[in-house]
Amino acid sequence: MVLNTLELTTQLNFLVKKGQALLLKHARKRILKDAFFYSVRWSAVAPLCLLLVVAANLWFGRSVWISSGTMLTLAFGITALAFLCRLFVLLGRVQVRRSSALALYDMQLQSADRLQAADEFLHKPELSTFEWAAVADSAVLIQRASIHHLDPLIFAGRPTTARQFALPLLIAIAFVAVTLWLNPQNEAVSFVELPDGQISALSLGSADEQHNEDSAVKRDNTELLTHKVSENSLKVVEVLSQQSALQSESSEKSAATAGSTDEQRAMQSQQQAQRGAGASAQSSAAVQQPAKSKAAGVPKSDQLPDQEPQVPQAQKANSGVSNGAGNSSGSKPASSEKEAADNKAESEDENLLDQDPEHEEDEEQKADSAAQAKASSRKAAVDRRLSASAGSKDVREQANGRSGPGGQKKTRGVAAMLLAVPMPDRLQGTPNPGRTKSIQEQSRPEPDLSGLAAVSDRGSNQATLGTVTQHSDPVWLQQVVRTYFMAGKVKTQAPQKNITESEE
Amino acid sequence: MNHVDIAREQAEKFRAVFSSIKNEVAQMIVGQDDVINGVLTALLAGGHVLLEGVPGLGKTMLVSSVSKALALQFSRIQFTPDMMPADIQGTTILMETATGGHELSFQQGPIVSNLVLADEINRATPKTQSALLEVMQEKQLTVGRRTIKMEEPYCVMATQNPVEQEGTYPLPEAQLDRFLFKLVVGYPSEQDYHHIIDRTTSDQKVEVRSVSDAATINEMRAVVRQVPVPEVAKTYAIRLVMATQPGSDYAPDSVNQFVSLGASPRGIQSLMLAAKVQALLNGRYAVSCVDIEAIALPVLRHRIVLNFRAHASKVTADSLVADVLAKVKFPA
Repeated sequence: MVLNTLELTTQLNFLVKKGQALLLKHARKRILKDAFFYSVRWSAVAPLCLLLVVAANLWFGRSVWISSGTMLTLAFGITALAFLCRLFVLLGRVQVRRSSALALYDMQLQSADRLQAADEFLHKPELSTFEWAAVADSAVLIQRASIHHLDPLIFAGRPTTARQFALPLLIAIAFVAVTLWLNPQNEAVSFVELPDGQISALSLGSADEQHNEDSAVKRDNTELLTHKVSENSLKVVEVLSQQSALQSESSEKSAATAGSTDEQRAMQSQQQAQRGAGASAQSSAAVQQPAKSKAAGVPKSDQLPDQEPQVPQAQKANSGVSNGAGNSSGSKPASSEKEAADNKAESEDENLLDQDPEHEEDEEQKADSAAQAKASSRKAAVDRRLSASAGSKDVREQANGRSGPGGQKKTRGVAAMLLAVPMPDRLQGTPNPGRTKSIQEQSRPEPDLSGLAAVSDRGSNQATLGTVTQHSDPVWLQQVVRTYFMAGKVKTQAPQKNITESEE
Repeated sequence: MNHVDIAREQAEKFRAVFSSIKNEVAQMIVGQDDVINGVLTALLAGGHVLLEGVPGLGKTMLVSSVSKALALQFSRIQFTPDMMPADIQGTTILMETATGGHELSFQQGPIVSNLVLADEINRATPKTQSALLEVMQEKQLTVGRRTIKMEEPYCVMATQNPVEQEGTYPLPEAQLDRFLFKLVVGYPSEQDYHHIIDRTTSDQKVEVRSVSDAATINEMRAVVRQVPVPEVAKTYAIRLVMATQPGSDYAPDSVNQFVSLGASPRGIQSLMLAAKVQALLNGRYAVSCVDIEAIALPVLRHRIVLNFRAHASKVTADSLVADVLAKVKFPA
């Protein structure tokens, strides 16, 4: 049997090329996946760095002004850079060996490594009889492999687990949170260092306004600022008192409204911005009131007069999106689009009913502010009625046997029928943990770690003990002991003496 | 005749000899095909075999049948607790000469033979068991100043009973490592019991003929050593052996947890030789990973020394080898 080794080598080379192409294709897929997860980790770098910058700014009392666009660009830029770097590094490392390509055929043809063995033996300078036989044995398989269509491989990478997505998810959440926090369209809470070293929390309509106001604060003299703040605080107090009076009217108006216009939306946004400014002035005034009573010349920050002319500009720039309806606490920014849309609807309803828009806007503003101020302190009325059948619809809904929402359930049933034994249905305390189950786990036997003590470590028995203190007994005890032993000695010596005398 | 034809003829002859011996042995031993294959594989690979099984399964008969089929010099040593090394190696005794004088003469022990059956090997003390170390590895025996070379083929086939552990001495690792295979003899199937009854309790006599001889066995051993091993098979065997060693790159968690000592380089030699026999029996002219995988269990199971945790957790060496085979994939 004559083997055409050249032909076999050519065919094997062809198979190697085909196998390598397929393996490279799958390797690239794997690399893409790997590079993606690698780059996701780097996407956290930009938000973290910017957070550090913001924290540093806050620490040093400077204002925060970082646009979300910058952060987005940085984050995506770093991520893309990491992805590309990883991709090129991994692609540079990819190398499909001949044996791997032939192993693919061996696996699919179930030829028990015959192709790999033949390829290896054909590259040897001299072949033994069994190596020739192995090559000849694989010749038929090489022919089969050359016409064999390689099946697409199942992606052999590690299965994607939920854990792999945990980090990207966390980064995305952090990214969104940081973006929202730093978004200049939202109400940004920053700290402005006052000339006397006080740091005052200001609730501003936008970061741009804050920036402008900071410059204004530095520019104005302290007396003028104090005067403006006092004026604004007085205005806010008046507005709040009017709003509480108009609360009932505003609720009726909001119930019977329909339709709107663009001008009305803009006006409503303007009202909210004024409300925010007023509330912020109120908070700043509240902070600075004691200081004012002590020293009239203490500089104060004043935002309201500077903000009022800026509000329409901000509205134009934001194309109708509500700007920072800051309340007194600053914890409920009404900047989201949803809230803005709700506010628009309310304003439309109000404007349809009222003839004098400016007057009605003031009233609505007052009513809303009063309602918001009361909402936090309002508690549901305690409903002590147990029956759910009597009364109107409203009464039936609240008659659930509970003393108000979230309260303790009222006593019912058998417990209520027991005389003089008040027994609530639900007892406060920790619930019963239930049946306990103890699992005996196998403990790993561990060798005794304490090593043998070396002889040299022990103290020598022949070493000097040092000074040994001897306690002397009291004199009377010494006397008693001496008397006792002397008496005993006399007794023992007396018979011996007698014996000696008798012998003599 | 070119190289290919020579190799094919040798491989054909190898398979023919193997099957003829197997058929003869199978006349005496019903069933137990795997055990017979294992014993003959170890014999043709030039190794020794340790047969483990409960009494009555035909271990001793299997070995004696193989010796009859091969027409080899056979000796049986029944290991007992009071046996001494001199009992199996031989000793110098005082002999009377023809002239009436006396002289010291060396009497060879039963270990000097072609096929040695070490029956119940774990009943002898470690001192006596150690007398087999040199002869099993070096194929030579040293007693005093006398060194005796064993005639090829030389094969020690030992049996041990896994249940009667009272008064037994477990084989030391050094001796276990010298066995190429450890074969576990199991119970026969229901059909096999019928054949056993018919052959052993009736008046028909079954005799094993000699179908081969020592020269043929040596020739077959030479053929086995000619079988080439491609790199892929070498890599796989190396990884398998390394996977039995705790702390290695390929070791599965179970090995790291339960194994104190893994297979030695002697293990990979045994793995390769047995895989070569397997390749020839499977009609191949080069070793493949499939051949190595097929003989990995009997080669590796007795080379894994379990730690205390494994004994406490009732983890066996067989399950660990299975873990290793599952972990280590064919290299590509």
